[in-house]
Amino acid sequence: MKQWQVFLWGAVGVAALIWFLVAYAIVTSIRRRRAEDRDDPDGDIPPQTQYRTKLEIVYTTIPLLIVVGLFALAMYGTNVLDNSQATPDLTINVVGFQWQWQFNYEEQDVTVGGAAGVMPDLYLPVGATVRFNLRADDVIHSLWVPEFLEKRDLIPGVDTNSIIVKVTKPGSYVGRCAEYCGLNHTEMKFNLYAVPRDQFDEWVRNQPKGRPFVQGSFTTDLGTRSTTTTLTPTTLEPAPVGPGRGVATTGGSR
Amino acid sequence: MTLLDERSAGETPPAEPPPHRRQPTGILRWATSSDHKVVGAAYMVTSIGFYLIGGLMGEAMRAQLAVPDNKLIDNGAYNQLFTLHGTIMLLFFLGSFAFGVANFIIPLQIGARDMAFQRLNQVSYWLYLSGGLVVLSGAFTENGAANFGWFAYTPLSDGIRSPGVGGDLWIAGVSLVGVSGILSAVNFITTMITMRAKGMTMFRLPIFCWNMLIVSVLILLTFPVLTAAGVMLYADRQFGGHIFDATVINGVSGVPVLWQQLFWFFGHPEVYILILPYFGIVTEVISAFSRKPVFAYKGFVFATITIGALSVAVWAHHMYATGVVLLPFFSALTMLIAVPTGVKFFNWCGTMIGGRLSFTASMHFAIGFLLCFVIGGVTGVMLASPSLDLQLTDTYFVVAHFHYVLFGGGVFALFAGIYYWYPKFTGKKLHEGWGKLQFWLQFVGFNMTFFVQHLLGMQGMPRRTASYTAADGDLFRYLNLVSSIGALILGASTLPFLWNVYRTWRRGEVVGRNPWDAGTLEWWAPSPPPIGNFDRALPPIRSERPVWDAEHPGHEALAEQRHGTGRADGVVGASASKGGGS
Repeated sequence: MKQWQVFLWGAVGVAALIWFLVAYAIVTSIRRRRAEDRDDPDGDIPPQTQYRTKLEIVYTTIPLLIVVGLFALAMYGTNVLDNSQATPDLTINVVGFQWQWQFNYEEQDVTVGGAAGVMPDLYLPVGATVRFNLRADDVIHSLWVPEFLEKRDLIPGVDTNSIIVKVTKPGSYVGRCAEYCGLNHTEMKFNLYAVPRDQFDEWVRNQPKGRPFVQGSFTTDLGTRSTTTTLTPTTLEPAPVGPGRGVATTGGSR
Repeated sequence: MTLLDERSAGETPPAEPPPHRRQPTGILRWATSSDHKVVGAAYMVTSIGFYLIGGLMGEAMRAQLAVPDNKLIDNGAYNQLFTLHGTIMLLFFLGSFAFGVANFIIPLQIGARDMAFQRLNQVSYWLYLSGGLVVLSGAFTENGAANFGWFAYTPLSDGIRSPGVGGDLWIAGVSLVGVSGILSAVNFITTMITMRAKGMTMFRLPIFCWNMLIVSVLILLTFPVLTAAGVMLYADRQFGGHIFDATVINGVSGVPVLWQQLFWFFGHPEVYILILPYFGIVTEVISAFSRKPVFAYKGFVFATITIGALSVAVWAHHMYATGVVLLPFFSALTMLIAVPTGVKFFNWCGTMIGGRLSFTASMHFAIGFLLCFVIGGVTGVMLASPSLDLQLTDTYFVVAHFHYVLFGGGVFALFAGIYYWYPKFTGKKLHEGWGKLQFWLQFVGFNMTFFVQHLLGMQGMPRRTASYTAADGDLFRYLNLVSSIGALILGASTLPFLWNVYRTWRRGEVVGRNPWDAGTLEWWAPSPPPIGNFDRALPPIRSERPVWDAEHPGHEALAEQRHGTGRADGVVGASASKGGGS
């Protein structure tokens, strides 16, 4: 997203500027020292200056103003990027578990998953606004496709996390788990293919319908839970939390 | 003058220590002496030992990541490596080394004979050492050491997902070092509040002491939370506690995110607990080698207090991606910390500007600190912004950020401190040439290793991945290779240091009390100081640089506001409650 890139590089610019100012101050003091050495090699004790109250007020106020400005920008940026109110064309229920992903296209009744050593393939139509409802049952995971420009955790007991993405460009991308989740965390990836709408529709037609969502067994403290759970839309409440909209919703809602 | 007379009347030289029957030497002295200098040295040497172990783990990880699809280290071993690397460096090295310096230096800087609680001090050390060994011993158990990352997120770290003794040993070791830290903090606070020499008011405490005071307060606020959370996690693992897992029992469940709240309530102030002592060290070093007082001393103290206060209210900036925290609040407070930190940069630069700098090895490290730490600081402000953080968190950008803070800040300042105080520790000076060689290797190696990791993170490399594939592209391949080569250089930089220590032990230059012509009170004592520390009456204490004032009469600090800084004879503890409670 364009605004995001502007914000990122703006922040990098401010950071670089601050670094150069510090480096400049250091180099100045070093060069001045060298010059003094030349002029007055026996000079020993410099003026023992310690307090300059006005200067101190200035150099406390200026960083404060910079920070206030940055904060305003950050909040503005967060609100601009906040698309949690957008109406999705496509809803995908995501379950992450050690160490695979499963994607359930809610309206299409299609479910895709991976297998041992095989990354699942997620197809998205270009131009669509897609909502990902994020859920995990074992440990915490995090859904991240770098091109989405945001990531969001999948937390056991928290069923309200979601992100909304508008697919703008065809291409193939790699999604990963970004929150360390155990032994094969590194291999917990998926392929994302953004394809034109007609290709997507064809792909959907070729998928078997009604495949149970969430396969495999989840070991819990209470023994092995039933191996197949079909998530009905009612268990996934509409998520009030969009990107950057911090609303406290801790677990326990199940 | 009269003032001098008054002072020397009240300030008799400390009495000779009672004659010991036979002073044990060597390892027996280490094990039995409660002298603050011996305990301090034990802390420092042990910490450096952990630094070398943790460093080798870092080298192993960089070796694994040097090329794509590497099979050198498997996933399981890699996970143990980064867990132990983080745990050791954060809990058993950086902070503990600062404790060592503080143990050695604080009583000297405030003109005391020892710490307030000497045996407690020893207990702290032994708890710390055993904690470290307990964590490491996990590597020799059946399932290996803890492998859930140094922040041990639940439910991954519970007994179901991470079975094995390694995890339990991790909790035990971390709790031990937690208790050790609490005891030390109590000791530091008591020592600084009650044992200052006559004339040493709170606003004449050297900056290093001030910073350790704030650190100790932070420890008392946060370490108990860590230890308590550790006990709860242990209950989950061993007794079916279900505090931190989402298993529904009778309609209610535990809360996995609760662990994150508790852990980061400790974990974020911990970063300041780790870095503030090193701010103090760098301040002493820059002031001494600029031959000037610390610029805006009081402003510096207030900045430290502000940092300490803000640091306990920003923990959830580690949790933006969980979606359960109030972003604007934590974002605003996190960014605010940049203000007092920025003020400190003005203090350091203001001390240097107009000073007569001497470019000793110690000063090299201090300047290296300034240049590296500022990068860690500004990337911290970037990460405080939610829209950037949601993309960059859990990537190598964050890895780069905190290594710039803790290595570029912490470790550079640590070596500045070692080169600065080594003459006081041992009576001998480390070799300057080897020190500068170490600095340049470390500076080049460090920046090569970690600067490119910013770019890797922006390119999409998540942290804590045991490998990447050729399909991830050439940028991954080359940036990782550069980083690994840098890590080799960085590792090599410890060799000149170890050689330097050995060489100095064999035939180092013997120096007197005050080889750097520095100003704080530790330079008044012999090098190394005997038991009881001072062998002559203390100089009059009228500023934070009593030795400077005594040795350079007529060159006292040109204070803008001379009045109001306390009476010349000092009122001990006059402002103690003000400083201690913040």
